[in-house]
Amino acid sequence: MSDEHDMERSDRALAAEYVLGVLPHAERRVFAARLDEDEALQDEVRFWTEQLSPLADETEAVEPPAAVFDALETRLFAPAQAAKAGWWSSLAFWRGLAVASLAALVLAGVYLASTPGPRPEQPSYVAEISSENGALKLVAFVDAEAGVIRINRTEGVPESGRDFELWLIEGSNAPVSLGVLPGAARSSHEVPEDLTSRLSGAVLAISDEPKGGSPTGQPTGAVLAAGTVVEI
Amino acid sequence: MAELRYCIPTMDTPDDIDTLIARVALRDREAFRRLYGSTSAKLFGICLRILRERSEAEDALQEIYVKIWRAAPTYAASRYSPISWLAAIARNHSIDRIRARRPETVDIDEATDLSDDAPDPERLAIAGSEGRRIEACLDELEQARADAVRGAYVDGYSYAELAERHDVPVNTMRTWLRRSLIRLRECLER
Repeated sequence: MSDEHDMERSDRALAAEYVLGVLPHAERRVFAARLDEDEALQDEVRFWTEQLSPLADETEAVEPPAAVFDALETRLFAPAQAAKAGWWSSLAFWRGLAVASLAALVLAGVYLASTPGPRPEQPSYVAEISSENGALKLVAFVDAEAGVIRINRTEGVPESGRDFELWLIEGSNAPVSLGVLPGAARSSHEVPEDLTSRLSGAVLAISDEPKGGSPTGQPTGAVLAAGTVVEI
Repeated sequence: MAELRYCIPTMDTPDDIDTLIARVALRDREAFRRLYGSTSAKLFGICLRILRERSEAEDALQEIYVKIWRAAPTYAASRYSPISWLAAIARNHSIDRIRARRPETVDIDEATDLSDDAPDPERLAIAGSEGRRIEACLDELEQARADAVRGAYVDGYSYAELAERHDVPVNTMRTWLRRSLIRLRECLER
């Protein structure tokens, strides 16, 4: 844990440059990746974000065209409504899937990838995440094009006052948090853009964390379940 | 409250926005519609200003609210104030787009970077404790440097654009701005 006052001056300047928006693209991406795992940097970024925020008052508000909201609603809610009656939300389907072999999972993934919308250019991935005793089971479908991992938890709930946190571990790199699993069985998790091309063979894992997730940016509790991401 | 004057003319105070985000975290679509109604004009203004192209700003705004919908469950733990959190998502997304569009690299002259510019005592005296901290602290900087900070924040200028506007080499601009930011931080902390 680095104390805020120990932070390198150059890191402080970088955090300010990041919030201000002046960092060149590559540096910006590198900093954003570090930010995910470094609480002291997050504090520094929050400091600058809050302090500079009044400058946004200089920007005149402009009413966006109504079409933007219509498109937004369709994008966020229409597919979910369409799927509601279908297999995606069918618990029986997912229960069956979770106990089925990875081969079945792969087939389901192919089906999923080929159903809605235009055919994604990027490859798709799936993973079966389960604990050794089977008390916690999840299936993950990675929509590489949208940069999201969709999770369906078919077995297991966190202990009272605790949360499940989802991690992506690529190669020998430190785990990257994809967020805390919500109470609902299904959830979507954004994948950092720099990781979307390196998903094949990566590991998805669930750890037991305090409410709201790991306070350190790295798993602090037991890793309860894990599974390997396979390309389909 | 001044920062809300454009976009939230009616009922939504920062506390309301806070509540709306919490409800959006629980996947409340009505709350999401209301949040959009209350805040989209401010965020669209930010996108337009930075991206400078209407159709791209419209695309960006859609992406931004998708991000807001998805990130809402993490808001409570983030300890951000609601408007700063929303504006940061809008600014970050717009800046990501514009930087990806025009990749550049800017070296910094490490030898001269970040050595302290001593604060100008006269300027320190002028900067009062009244008003918003950031304005008072920007006033402590030389005019041109304060303008560069504002230009970067408000207009999303890159180092290359700032250098051109201020007629200095890009590396000099970066060294300048980083020093100004360090001084700003010292002032903001006082």
